[in-house]
Amino acid sequence: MKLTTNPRLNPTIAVLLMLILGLILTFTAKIWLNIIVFVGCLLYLLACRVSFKKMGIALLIAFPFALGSWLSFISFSHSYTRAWLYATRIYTYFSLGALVTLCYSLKTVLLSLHQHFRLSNTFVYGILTAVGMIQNVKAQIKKIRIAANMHNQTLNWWNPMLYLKIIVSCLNWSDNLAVAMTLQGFSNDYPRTETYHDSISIFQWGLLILLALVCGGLAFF
Amino acid sequence: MDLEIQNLTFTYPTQPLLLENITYRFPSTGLTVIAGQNGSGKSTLLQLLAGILAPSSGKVQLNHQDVSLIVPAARVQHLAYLPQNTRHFFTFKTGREQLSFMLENLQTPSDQIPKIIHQIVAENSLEYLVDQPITTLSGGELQQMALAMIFSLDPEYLLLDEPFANLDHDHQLQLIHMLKSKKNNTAIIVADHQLQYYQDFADSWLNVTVHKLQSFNPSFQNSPTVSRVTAGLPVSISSRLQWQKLTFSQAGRPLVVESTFQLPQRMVGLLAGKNGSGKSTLLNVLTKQYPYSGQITFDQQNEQRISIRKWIQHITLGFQNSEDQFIKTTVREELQSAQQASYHPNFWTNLQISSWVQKFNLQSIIDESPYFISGGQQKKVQLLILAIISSPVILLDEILTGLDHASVALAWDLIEMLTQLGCGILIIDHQFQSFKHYDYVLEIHDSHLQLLPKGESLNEIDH
Repeated sequence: MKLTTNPRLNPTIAVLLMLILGLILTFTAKIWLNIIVFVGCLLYLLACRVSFKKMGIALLIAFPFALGSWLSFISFSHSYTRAWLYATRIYTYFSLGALVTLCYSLKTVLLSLHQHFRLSNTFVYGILTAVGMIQNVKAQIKKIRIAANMHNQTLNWWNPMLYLKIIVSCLNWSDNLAVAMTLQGFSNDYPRTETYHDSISIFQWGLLILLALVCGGLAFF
Repeated sequence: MDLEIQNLTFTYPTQPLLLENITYRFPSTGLTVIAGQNGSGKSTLLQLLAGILAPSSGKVQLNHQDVSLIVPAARVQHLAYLPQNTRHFFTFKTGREQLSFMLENLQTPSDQIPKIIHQIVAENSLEYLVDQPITTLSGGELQQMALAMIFSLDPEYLLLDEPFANLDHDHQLQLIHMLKSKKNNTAIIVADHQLQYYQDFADSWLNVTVHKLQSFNPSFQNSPTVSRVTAGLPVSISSRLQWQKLTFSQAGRPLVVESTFQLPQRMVGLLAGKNGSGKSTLLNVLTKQYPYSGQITFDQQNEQRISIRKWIQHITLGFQNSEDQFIKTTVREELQSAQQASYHPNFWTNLQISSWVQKFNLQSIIDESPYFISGGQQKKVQLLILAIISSPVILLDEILTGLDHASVALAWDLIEMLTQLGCGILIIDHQFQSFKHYDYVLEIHDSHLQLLPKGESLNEIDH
């Protein structure tokens, strides 16, 4: 688990900030505001010492989406302003997402939301278990293909049979995982020791409200 | 505390009746062994006792309360259950996270959790395992960790499904010791085929036959466990799979260093070694699933020059986790598909296949999904698939674990038939009573893979 040292925002505040700023930007048509938020997010990521490589990959992934919407607005509405508005908006959304995903581990975010917003434990641990399964799924795909090779069959990645097999084995796993959690005493909505704890200072709440007001003000007035 | 079943009947949807009108009261201390053939319903009975399954009719009660209605956090402190496939027991990346999750569920004060984990780790010598990624641990290592977790719950009733599966000899002895000391103040209920482990200290023996639970007296033939190698390789052998200076490691730790060997055709070999010594990894190396240095050849062709598709047709692998073997939706389709890929289609006629289905007692589940049959039945289907394919080299990872006595004998008939078809077979196995069947023994010990000479005993057993 990554440490939430200063000057980091509390994970819950970061999630709220992402949602609120994202919502405001959806209803405004100011390119410069997109850019300001985008740059702000990048600066924050730098302050959190997120590696350049990770940031680079995030920006690279956003590129085809931004290009796609830019091209479609150019070709269908012939408006450069609109094209740039939507292209920059995609980048801004990505950077807001990165604010949460690159600065905090998934576990921290979920546990923080559980603490402050009563997010159900079944949801928190369900998601964590599912994400933990990704490694297993990768290994499983390898095994399925080898098992098929033994039958003199090849399951290429475009073969629907491969995906059917993966789905069947994941369904089988999901049952087994649910049983395993129960066997270790987990039950929905039953009190358990909370080892994660964070507190949100009045300063952080204030900062959230201030940023929301400033962004809203710039967007609509 | 009082655990009893009353008029219990259980049927899986769309399957024939499994358990019928069983009434039994389990003693509050001592060790009860539940035996029975593969697919007779031993594991199902344990799952009903553990409250994971609910009976079709009748009751399972702990202190006159339905077990399935007790909240899990409270239930596991009275009734702890070890599933048959311990790979399914782990939902987090490491054992430490898993232990912490369990202790949090039990509402252990957060300042005590690290202390308790430390204690469990120290008592069970899990220091090396507890922080390793679960996906890299062997079946035996996972079994050790799951057992430690279950024992740490210190419940009144311990329900264990084949607790000795995958354990090496040392850990088998440790477990016997543990069970002996626990049973004085705990009720231990195990489901197992390998009755000899419990020979000296079981207090009652039950058998699930024809849907009923009956007590019985097991008879043990007085055959001492053979741990000495009874056969040596002849000087000249025919061999197709060979390796030279084979070296591989895991997490920086060398597993096997500079091994050279020619795997004999028409023979059955045992691959032995302690838990985590690298036995399964060797089989993965030989099937292009794990990186290595050195050279592996099949019919003088370098492994690196052959595509995985071609390679795997020569060298098939029986996965430790049987479920990994299945690619079709029913047992029948699995066997048909294997028949189409068979190296000996003239031998594996429909008649031959159905005779083996009968012998292994699989006819009732032939149209079921291979995922929804019992652990022992899965092993039998798995073995039959590989036998039908009968590729030149067959590697089998713990294929005999979880088979009942009669099925083990049949499995050996099948394996010996495969050698007559010309196959070279290498088997990982910790149950040494089948020692006499092996033509040679390979052991991984101190990072060396060695062929044991005739008369030698295993390092795994002697020290």
